[in-house]
Amino acid sequence: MSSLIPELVIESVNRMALDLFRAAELNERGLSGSATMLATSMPVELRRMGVDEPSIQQVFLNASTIHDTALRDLSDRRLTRFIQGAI
Amino acid sequence: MPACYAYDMTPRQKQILTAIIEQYAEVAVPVGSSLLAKVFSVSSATIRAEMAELEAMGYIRQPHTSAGRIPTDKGYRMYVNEVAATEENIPSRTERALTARLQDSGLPERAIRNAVDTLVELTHNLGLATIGNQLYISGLSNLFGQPEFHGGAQVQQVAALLDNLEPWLREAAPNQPLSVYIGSENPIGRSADVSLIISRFRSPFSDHSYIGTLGPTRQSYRDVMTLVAHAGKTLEEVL
Repeated sequence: MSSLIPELVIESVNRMALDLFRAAELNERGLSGSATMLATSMPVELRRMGVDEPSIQQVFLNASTIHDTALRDLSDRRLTRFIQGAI
Repeated sequence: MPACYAYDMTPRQKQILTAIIEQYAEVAVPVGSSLLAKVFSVSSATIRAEMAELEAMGYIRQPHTSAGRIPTDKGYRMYVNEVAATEENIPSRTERALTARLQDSGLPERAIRNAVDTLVELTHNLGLATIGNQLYISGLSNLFGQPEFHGGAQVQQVAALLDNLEPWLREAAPNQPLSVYIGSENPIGRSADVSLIISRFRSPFSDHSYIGTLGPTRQSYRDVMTLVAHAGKTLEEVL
């Protein structure tokens, strides 16, 4: 991660990644909407914060890693519940 | 799937297309005539003439930013059909590794998770499995980290595809043991430049179970298709 990106922006974006994930978690239908929200909202928000385009890519990748982990854990919990219920 | 290259291609053009696809998958840089001239021991002019024909037939194209060529979806489709028609009888090292990890899994949900996580690790794509209406997904950052997706519009297309994948799979229910959707062949996110490779497998939990990967159109189809098919087959055995 580039040192040119203010720590505050990184923290804010990472928080956003988790907020978007929580929105997906609350969506009873499943994970729908989560990736789209990440891909559409985050770059817009970063531009609004004045982050330059190369840095947006770095921040986005970092945030998508956090989102990825949360998404994997959630889908794992749901899959486990489904299979254990079926056994 | 048709089992051979198009009749309009000469054997050398077929070899050149294969070389372009495999080289581009490896280095992510458009492939130039000088490199291919060395590989085929002919002049650059000969290769350029062959490439011009392949381009006219729609199998390769020249990006604006480079003198080299990259495969089109049509070129990849030809290649994938050829790969699908090839019988591989000896399990590769990666297939054996996948089998070992699945056989040691214990619980069924752990076997599914291990299969997807291993595909992510070995292919560097996003991995997914659906059992009924449940989706297990891993490797989103792998996908978004690929050089093809360093731009906003494509990332959004990929995300839309991802968000609609499970409902689409449930509805379309592709019936083949292995299905490959290349770039614009995808039902959602047609211009996202991604390829979906999925294997349908039987499980005690659902009639509609799939495992697969989503990655850029630029990928090692032979390896990924073999691994995905193997993952589906092995899950049928262990679940």
